[in-house]
Amino acid sequence: MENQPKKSPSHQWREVAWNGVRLDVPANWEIGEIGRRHLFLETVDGPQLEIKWGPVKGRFSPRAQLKRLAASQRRKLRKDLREESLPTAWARSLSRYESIGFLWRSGTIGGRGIVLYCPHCRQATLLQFYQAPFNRPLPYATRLLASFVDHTDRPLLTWAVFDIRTKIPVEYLLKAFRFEAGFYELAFSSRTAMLTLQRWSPADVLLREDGLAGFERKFLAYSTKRSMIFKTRSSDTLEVADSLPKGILQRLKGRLRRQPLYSRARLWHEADKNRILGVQIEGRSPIESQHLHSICTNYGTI
Amino acid sequence: MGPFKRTKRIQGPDRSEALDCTPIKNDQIEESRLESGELLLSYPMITRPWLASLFRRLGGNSERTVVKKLQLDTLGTEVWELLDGDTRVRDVIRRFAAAHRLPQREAEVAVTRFLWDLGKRGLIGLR
Repeated sequence: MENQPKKSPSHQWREVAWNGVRLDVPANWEIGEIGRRHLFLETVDGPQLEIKWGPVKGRFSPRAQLKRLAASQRRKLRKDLREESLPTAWARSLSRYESIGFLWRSGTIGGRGIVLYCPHCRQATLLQFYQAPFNRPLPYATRLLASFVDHTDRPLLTWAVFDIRTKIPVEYLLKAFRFEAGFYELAFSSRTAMLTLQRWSPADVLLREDGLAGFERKFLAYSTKRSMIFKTRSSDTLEVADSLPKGILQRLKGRLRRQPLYSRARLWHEADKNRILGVQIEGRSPIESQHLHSICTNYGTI
Repeated sequence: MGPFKRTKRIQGPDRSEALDCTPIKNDQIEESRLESGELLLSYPMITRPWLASLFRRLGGNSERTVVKKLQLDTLGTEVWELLDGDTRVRDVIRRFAAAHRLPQREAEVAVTRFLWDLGKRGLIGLR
């Protein structure tokens, strides 16, 4: 029965955490699509799980949402989407949420889903497991749902997608992201600063010619700015900080342009992982070296 | 409006089947190695009749077949050298990922994109 959790063939699970949502998934599930509030996980055999979430203003009824969801589908699928009570183990794992289960089928593929509402953070989440053939047991679902979290009360929020792992202060909100082969970038902003996390690979090829200093000159060009001062300059770590413009006129210009006045960045080579990681913080008030250090310490790859 | 927006998904070819294909190089390609170790590929391309006619009118080469060149970078050269006519796409990805300690998925995206580009230029076919 699907209520009985089984271990994945490899017995391995990994954490996926993105924009407030966190869960454990079997290690062979990969992110196939990613959006600001959307994750689509798949294996070589096909789609496995889709998650969408969003804030709710006012009252929220999972049942009414399910009806809206059904109404938004094509006519054929609409008939094959029906409410279904959650298996006991699932319901137990999700007891802290208001929830409703559903089943759907479209051609050879079907799925089982849940609409969740967290009264604490006022966020609604749609999770749907894909099944082909329909009604195949979902051995991983109970453990996965038990690990599902849609908010944190801690000061640091975990981000874990692809091979990136980081914990950053919750006040940093996601502004933009890029996941391209060889280059990942996450940009965040808070009320006082902008934070950018970058990751390049493969480092052995990128650093082959001119090392980390050459890479920095070619791709980031921090050092070409006259106001940048090197705080650390070694073969595997570079740290730069922007000094405050000297003249009063320059400072005024900076304030009027509403550009960040201060900037601090670190670039380092993870030789054992063959990656290059970069963190940049910009703001209109001085950036403490300890702030950059704590973000860099929590940022890495697996 | 509910909190969940619909996501449009384009149905592509089956991923597993695509990974089981074997890339075959076009036998009309000439390879030359540059000092940097990178490869320069030269391959014939048949121009469209109207384009050949335009070249002729402008006093250029009237031949319909022109030789195009493509210089591969370090990673492109590595992947090209893995294409021996027997190795499946899946194995090319695995070897490429292992050589650079890349996550399998990232290597898959990079290699399949590269193979797609080569295929578009007629430099490889898939068996």
